[in-house]
This record gives sequence, structure tokens and C-alpha cells, in this order.
Amino acid sequence: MLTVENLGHKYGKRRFALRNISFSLEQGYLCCLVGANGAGKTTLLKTIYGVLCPSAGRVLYQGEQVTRANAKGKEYYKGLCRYHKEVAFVGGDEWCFPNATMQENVETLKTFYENFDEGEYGRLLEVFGLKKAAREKTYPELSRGQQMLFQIAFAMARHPRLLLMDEPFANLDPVVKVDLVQLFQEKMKDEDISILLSTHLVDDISDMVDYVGLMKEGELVTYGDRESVFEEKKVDSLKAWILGGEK
Amino acid sequence: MEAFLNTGMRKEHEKRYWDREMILYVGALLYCLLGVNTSSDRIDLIMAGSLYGMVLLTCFVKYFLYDEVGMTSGFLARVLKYHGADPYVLFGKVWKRLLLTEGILAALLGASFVWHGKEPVVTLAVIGLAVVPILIFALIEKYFFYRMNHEISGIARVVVAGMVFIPLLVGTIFLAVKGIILLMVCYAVVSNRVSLNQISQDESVYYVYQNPYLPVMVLLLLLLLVSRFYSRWRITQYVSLVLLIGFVGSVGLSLYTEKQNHVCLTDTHILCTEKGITTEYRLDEVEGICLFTEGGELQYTLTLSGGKALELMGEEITTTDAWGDSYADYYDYLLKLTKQLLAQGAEGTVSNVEGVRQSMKNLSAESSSSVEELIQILQ
Repeated sequence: MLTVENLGHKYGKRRFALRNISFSLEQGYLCCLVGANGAGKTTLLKTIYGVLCPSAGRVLYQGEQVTRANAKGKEYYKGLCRYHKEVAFVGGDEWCFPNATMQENVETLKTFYENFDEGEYGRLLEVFGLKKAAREKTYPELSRGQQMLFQIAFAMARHPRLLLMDEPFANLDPVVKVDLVQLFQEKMKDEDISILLSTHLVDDISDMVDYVGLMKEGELVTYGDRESVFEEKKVDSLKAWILGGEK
Repeated sequence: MEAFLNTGMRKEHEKRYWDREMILYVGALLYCLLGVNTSSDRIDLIMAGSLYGMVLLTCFVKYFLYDEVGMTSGFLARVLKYHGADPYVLFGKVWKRLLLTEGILAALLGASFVWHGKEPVVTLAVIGLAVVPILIFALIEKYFFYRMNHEISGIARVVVAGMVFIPLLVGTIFLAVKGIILLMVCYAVVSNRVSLNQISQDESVYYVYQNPYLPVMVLLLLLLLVSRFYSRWRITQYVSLVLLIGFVGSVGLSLYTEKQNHVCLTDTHILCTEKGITTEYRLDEVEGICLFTEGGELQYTLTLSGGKALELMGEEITTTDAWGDSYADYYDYLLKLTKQLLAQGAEGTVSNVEGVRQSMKNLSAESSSSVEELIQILQ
């Protein structure tokens, strides 16, 4: 479903953020990217989504190239737009208009998605307790946790085939985390979506993870299915692996 | 995409910001048209045109690119990219609307210039300066859109920023200096250090004084700049209000000064008041008298030593010795004045006698007879 080939990205001319990253993810699986702060997880997710342009390599979705090094031109944008209809990204602050309330935002942004499910969006707001905030608050007025939940609710209501999430559990209270994990499980089971996420809070999802990728200084040093990675690293959980210094 | 342009945020934006955007927008247009009407100086007109372009640009950026909902157009592009919108389609539509509206307004501005009989070169320069900032901005937008996924070099940033801001900076300094001179003149007059008549003798100061709309334009520009930086504080509402007051004030000032234009004739002097400033000319300074037509209207001018021409028609004319209320009395008065001036040695001319006779058709029999006699003695 998603194939990343020799992907690289650099900020400026010299500072490499990603180097030679390759992996693939099949439909209906969850992949977790772990790594220290600054390891390149967010950059990798944004590059896969196409909001950052790779300096090397390419990304393929359903066998079709969606972004590559130095990509430009109308055809590239058209391809990227088609890709964005099926792929959602959660974690960036630039997904909505900051001076409008969330309700106003969604009224506008939903016009981009033919299959936007208002019922599902409303249900998720109810679950997350965000109905009032949606009417009254703008994005910057929300807490970091609420911002993340709004993004997740909006992304889920689009029924994406692939969901990219950058630290979705950061700043969330334990009760909401449980709801969220349950939601991910439901979506993966009912809609067969794939999830690629980065997190430090591996405890919350360690049972759900199918694939694990360890990033270090812009490189994907380990990637594989959970069992094989644990076997290779001689640990029995993600947490143990990370606490053991990610060796 | 169409839905985005026509519904949702756009409507919300219009509902919230339409009024003040339009105050700025229409106000800027009126202001420039007013400037065209009241100024005859080439540099002023060109500056007015370029500032109009900048004001228009600011309004368009705000209005079409939804800046007031908290975005620069680059931010808008990034938001749209997050949602799979094709920026080419969006900006194609936006720029078509923008250029169409800009074209219509530039044509209106040009028509106004032509209407007021300005030089073609000035007309073209002003229209060009009104349109060019929009085009530059369009190119910059296009550049950033194409390069959105790439690192833009520092030099490129400086170049594109310089293209917009250097002319703006130069224009602001130019107008700010004029504004400061005007304030100093006003202070000098208010504190009775100089009289208006003294000021009128100094051409450079008089030049500033007779263009009162310029300092208000400086204010307009500075406030717009401030509003760009502090739009989150909703200062634009206050800015718009101030601008509105400025526009109304400048229109009022213009009407007031227009009213102050009149000529008073005495037995020995001509007192000529322009925009509230009175200058005295002696009748024995008159070197020439000319009767002619302009736009089908009869004109009568006196040429003074030094080449200054005073129009004695089309202005509000008074005399210390009232001649009566009718035009016939006035033409009779001009006839007597002409005879007096010719006797003093002034030279008389009539240009386009046929045209003058043609324009006499609208006059009464008594007036026509006076004009006919004028033709006879001036030929």
C-alpha cells in the first residue's frame, strides 16, 4: 500500500533530517515509529504526506508515485491532491484556519472531501467531549490535547485509507487515551485502514502494533514486524526495548 | 474547490470583514480620484497612482486571500495542501477575479485621468503603477507556490521582498517629508509666524500647501502598514474608521478650498484667491488680454508680466463696484475693463473667432453684443 524508497530530506543545503529511508506498509496494519526527539520522525511523516519535498528517493502509494526528489509541476500537484483524498495527516498545526472557530473551520474544510461523514464527526466530538469547544473556540484557543483530538476526529470522519499521525497521544489524559486506542482498533477492524504513527508513549499501543521502526539521527536503523524486532533485540515489549536504550 | 471559493470560509469572511474591506477599498479609489482632481503635479499623480496600487494590493490580499482569517497566502497554501486542494486551481480562479477587477478599476482610474485632461504619459504611468504591484505580487505568489516544497534561498527572499518593499519605502519617505513640511507650515500659520500670503510667495511651501491630500495619504499608508502587522488586535477596525474620517475630511477640505477660489477686481488690483490664499496683482501689470473658447465655453484671460494668466470666466468673480446680478452686466464690465487695459498698453488677442462666435449662441442678446464688441476691439 505504502512504499518508501531511499527517502531523504534536508533543511537548507547541508542539514540532513532524513537519510536513505526505505520501508513498506500493507493495508490494514499499524506501524509505530519510535526514536528520540530530533530523530526525524515528524519530518518523515510530513515527507511521506507530501507537505515536505524529499531531497532524495520517492514515496509510492498503491503502486503510484506520489512524491519524489525535487518534484514540481502541475502533474505532481494533481497526483499529490489525489493522494491526499485517501490519506490523512494528524499532527500539524497548519491544517485549519486559526482565527475561525472549529465549527467554522470544519464547515469550510469539509467541502474538500466528498465522503466527509458529518455523523461520524459529530459522534467523535461527543466521545471526546468537544461539542462546546467546537462552537466557541478557535484552534489556538484549544489546549494541545484538544487540538489533537479535533484533528483526529476530522481525519477519522474522512474515512481515510491511510492515517499518518505524529505523536497522537501527547498531552492527552489517560481516559481519552484509552478511548483513542479503542477507536483506532475499531477503525482498523471495520474500515481496514492502515496507520503509521510516531509516539513516545508506546505502552498505550504496544498490543496493537504490527510493525516497528526505530529512528536515530534521521535514519531508520531498525524496521520489521513486532515479533521479529523483539526477537532480534531480545526484548518482550516496546517499552523494554526503549528503556533498554533502543540498542 | 468551487465550494471553498463560494461558500464556507469565504462567506464567513465576507460577513465579518466585507464592510471595512470595502471602506478601505472604495475609500482608496475615491481618494486617488480626488487626488487626480485636485493635483496637477506629475510626481504627485504618479505617487498617488502607485499608492493606490499598494492600497489595492493590500485590500486584495486581505479580501481574496482570506488574510483576515489569520493567514498569509503561504499559510493558506499549506492549509489547502493538507486537505488535498490543488493550489493551481484555487489561485487560477483567484487571480482571474483579481486581474479582472483590477483591470476595470485601472480603466476607471485612467478614464478619470483622461477626463481631467492629464498628460497621456502621466495617465499611463499611474495606471502602470496601480497595476504593476498586483502583477509583481502575482509573480511572487506563483514563485512561492511552485517552490512551496523546496527551500528558497535567502537571496531569492531578499529579491522578492525588495521588489515590493523598496518602492513602498521610497514612496513613504517621499510623502512623509511632504507631510512634515505641511505640518510645519500649518504650525507657522497657526502661531502667526507667517501669513498665508507670505507662504504663497514661497513656491516650494505653497506647492505642499496646495496638495493637502498628500499627508493624509501618508497617514493612510502608515496605518495600513500598522494594520498589517497588528491585524490580530483587530486594529483594522479603528484604522478603517480613521481612514473614513480622513477621506471625508479630505473631500470636505477639497470642497472648502474649491469654494475659496475666486477673483476680486478693484479699480487698481486683481485679488486672486486660490485654495484660500489670496494674491494681489496690479492692473497695470497686465500685458495681454485673450478671448478664446475651451470645450465650447467662452474664456477670457489676462496675462501678467511674468507670464501668469488669470482666468476671469469660470471662476467666482466679484468686484468692489458691483456690476449687477446678470451675466450681461458682467460682459459689459469686461468690455469696460478691456478698454481700460488696452488704453494702458496691454495687447489684445482673440483666438479662433469662429469658435468664439459659436459659443456666443448660448448667450443673451445683450451679452452677445458685448462679446461681439470685445472681438472687434481685441482683433
